[in-house]
Amino acid sequence: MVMCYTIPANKANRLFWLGRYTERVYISLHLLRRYYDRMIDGQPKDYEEFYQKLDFGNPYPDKESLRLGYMYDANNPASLLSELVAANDNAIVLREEIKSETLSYVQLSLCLIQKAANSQETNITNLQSITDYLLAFWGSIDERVFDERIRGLLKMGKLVENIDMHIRFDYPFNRIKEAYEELKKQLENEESMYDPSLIEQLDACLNEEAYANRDINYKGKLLRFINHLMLV
Amino acid sequence: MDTLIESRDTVNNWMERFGVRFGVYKNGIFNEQLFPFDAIPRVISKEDWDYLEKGLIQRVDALNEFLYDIYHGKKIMHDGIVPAEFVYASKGYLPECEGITPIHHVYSHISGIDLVQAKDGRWFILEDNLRIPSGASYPMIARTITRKVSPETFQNNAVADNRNYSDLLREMMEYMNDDRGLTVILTPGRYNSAFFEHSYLAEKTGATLAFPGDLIVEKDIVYYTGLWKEKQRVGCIYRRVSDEYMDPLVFEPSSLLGVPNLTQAYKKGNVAVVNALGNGVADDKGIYYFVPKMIKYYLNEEPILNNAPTYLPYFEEDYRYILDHLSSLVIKDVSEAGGYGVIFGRDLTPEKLAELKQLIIDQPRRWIAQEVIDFKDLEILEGNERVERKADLRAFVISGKETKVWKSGLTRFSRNPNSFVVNSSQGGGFKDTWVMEK
Repeated sequence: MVMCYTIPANKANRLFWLGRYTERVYISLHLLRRYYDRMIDGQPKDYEEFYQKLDFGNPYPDKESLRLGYMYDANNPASLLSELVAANDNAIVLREEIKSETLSYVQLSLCLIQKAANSQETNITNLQSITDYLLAFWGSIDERVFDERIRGLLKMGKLVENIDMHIRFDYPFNRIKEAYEELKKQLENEESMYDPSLIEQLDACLNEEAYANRDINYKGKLLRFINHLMLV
Repeated sequence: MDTLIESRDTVNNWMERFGVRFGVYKNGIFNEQLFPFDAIPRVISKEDWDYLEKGLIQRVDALNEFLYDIYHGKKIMHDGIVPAEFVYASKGYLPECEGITPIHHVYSHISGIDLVQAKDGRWFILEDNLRIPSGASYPMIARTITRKVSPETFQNNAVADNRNYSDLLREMMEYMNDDRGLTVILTPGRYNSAFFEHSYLAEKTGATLAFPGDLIVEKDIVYYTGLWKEKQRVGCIYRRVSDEYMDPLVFEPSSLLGVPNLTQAYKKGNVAVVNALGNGVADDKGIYYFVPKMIKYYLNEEPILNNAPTYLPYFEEDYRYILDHLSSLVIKDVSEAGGYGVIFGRDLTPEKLAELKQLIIDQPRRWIAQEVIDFKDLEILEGNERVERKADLRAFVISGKETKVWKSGLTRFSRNPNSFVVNSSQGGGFKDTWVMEK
């Protein structure tokens, strides 16, 4: 059978967003664990930055609702459930590119969170399996997806999301810089997939001297550049 | 087999894991649900299968001859075997396909033939599906999973391996492609009820899954288009889009699912379309009546497999019989599919029976009537209890260089104890179909 080397725009877009959403869920779970701990015996000021940094106003009356809402609220696009639904919406149409085995880790994650949502499970330890599934998802990509461009698009999405979340949550400069350099490597062979003027801007901002993660304007600028970088 | 039955929850968990679902629209809302799998397989003996295989090949070969004839010389109509009005009044007849000869003369590359087995063991053909029959992927993945979950079951039973469906499909598509270019599976998209199957078959055959908008035609050549104006020539399209939506310049102009100018490329023999356009004329419920006659006419053979006893109100004698025996017959609306438009006379009140009678009198061409076949019930598990339910069998026949029958099939069953309707869209489930090797 003749090999297909062509990637239509809609598939490129799906691959990129699959990378973004799976990374988003992965980091969100990490943050949930961090802030869940603060919610156990902390005051609102200890965890309010959590939803502020994610740019969603807190629509929940108390911390218990916030916790459940962040995990299972289908109407909140920042909830884990919504993010996994979005990841699955992209993955489900990419079965032949990523293979059934890889897709199964997204399906398993979604099934798990849907069951937890149905029972309004408050214990977050079960959600550790989703973190494990997502690590297996990326392992499976490395194991089963040999097309460089497909892997590249997935990784570009993953890295863009990683940088976005790390900027939002004030991660140290080196963590962001490493991910950014890795993203630039991925972009080397795909010159037409990004806006080169934004690379120049990011290069200018992302250096140790200029890095000012407590400056809201600076952060806003970085987030704007990184989120508009890709043209897929 | 006991370990397989005990492991049914594990099997269903694996199905969930692989996203084995089908979509259903209810009240305008799309829902994906698992296709309920029953672990007790349907078992077909080698003798039965050998008989079915011969009969299915014979039937599909005759149907392919019929399709070629209808769109070319029309000898069967000229010779009075099939009345012309049945052909021309069929919704599936496409005048736009007149004179088009598909690559290698094959029209129905993938035929889904629905059969039932009566309590006395005889098999009957219920209907032919020659457009885009679906369902093969479900037993295929079920077998992959059940072999993992209960290996001893397959060690101890000589069951023909059915995981070669994708090989049969690939072999046929490559033959149709003739090295022209890519082979693609054209799906209407994620919200089609059979999307799982489209994506799974693409993965397993190595074909490329194409979505609406991915294909274009330039100078009568079909291309798969990519980022930054990349394009690759397409040699074979296994389309899962209905005829009427395939080319908005020839058929339904509002269709966004098809490929403008595809018919032109197809007409010139530049691309194979699997299944061919216009096949609906041969799987029309009215034409079904004539299939045994086609077998005699084209192949000069006696039909091996029987139709269910069928009456056409078009014929005076049948018309009278139907009106006199309406309460004991099953009446089918020829324009419906998926188990819809099937009416059992025995279930109707006298008023409703009278209404139906009037409908038949007013539009005799719209209906066919069949004797109710007392299906052989198959055991299914309802909780932990074994109960009996009605079931049919969809056999898949692949026509490429030669006609082959896949040694398995989709066994669908009704979950409702009082129903004969087995369609998944109406809540039915499925079983694996075991064809025994000895």
